[in-house]
Amino acid sequence: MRFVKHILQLLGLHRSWLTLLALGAAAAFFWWEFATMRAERDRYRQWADVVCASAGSPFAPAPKSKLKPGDQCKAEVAALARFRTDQARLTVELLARVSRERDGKIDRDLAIAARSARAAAQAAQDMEKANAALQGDHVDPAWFAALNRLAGLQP
Amino acid sequence: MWILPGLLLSTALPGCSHKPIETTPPPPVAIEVRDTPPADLLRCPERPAGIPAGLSASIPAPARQALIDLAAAYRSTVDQLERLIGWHRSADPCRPPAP
Repeated sequence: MRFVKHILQLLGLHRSWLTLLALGAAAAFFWWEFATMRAERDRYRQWADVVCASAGSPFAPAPKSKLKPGDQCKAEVAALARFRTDQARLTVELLARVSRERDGKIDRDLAIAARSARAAAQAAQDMEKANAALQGDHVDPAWFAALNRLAGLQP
Repeated sequence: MWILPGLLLSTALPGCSHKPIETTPPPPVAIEVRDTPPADLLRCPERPAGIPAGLSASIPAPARQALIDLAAAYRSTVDQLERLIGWHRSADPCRPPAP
């Protein structure tokens, strides 16, 4: 108890010095905070300058412009992001359309190939029959007609 | 008495509306590259007239077989060419119209 009383008495004796010390500490703290914030602000400003320069528009507004600093840059960055999205969407849509068209071409080609193969097989069969029906080396009009059909020609 | 402030507001408030900021990115473009062969390569082959009807002849077997092979090869080549042309054109262009 006596010890606490002693401490309080000591504080009372040096109150002005202690107040000054506390104010100094607070000032040092605020100065340090302010310096840190200013350094961070400068770093972010530099970062914004770099980003805006990459986007093709300075962070600071043009002279006589009513825009706030960064407004034009923000719009540019947003437009670039939109451009990238739209470009990717267009490309994917185009690829999908070309892929669908190609599927259609494959189907059409398969149909043409099947029809040609059927006709060729039928003509080859007819030719074989006509060739087998010959007597010796004498070739009749039916054989020539089968040959025309085999070649796909009109007599 | 509210007419004048109303008129003033009606002229002043549109100025507060959001104006879009003009930007420079180009409009997105996607172009399909069509590697179509030259038009003369896509012309349908003209088939010659065949052997006239009603002919008779004496042809030895090896020559007959060669004629048959030639005819089959010609048909195969023309069919393949027409398929190739059909691949690059929109429809089945070399098919003769149905009678």
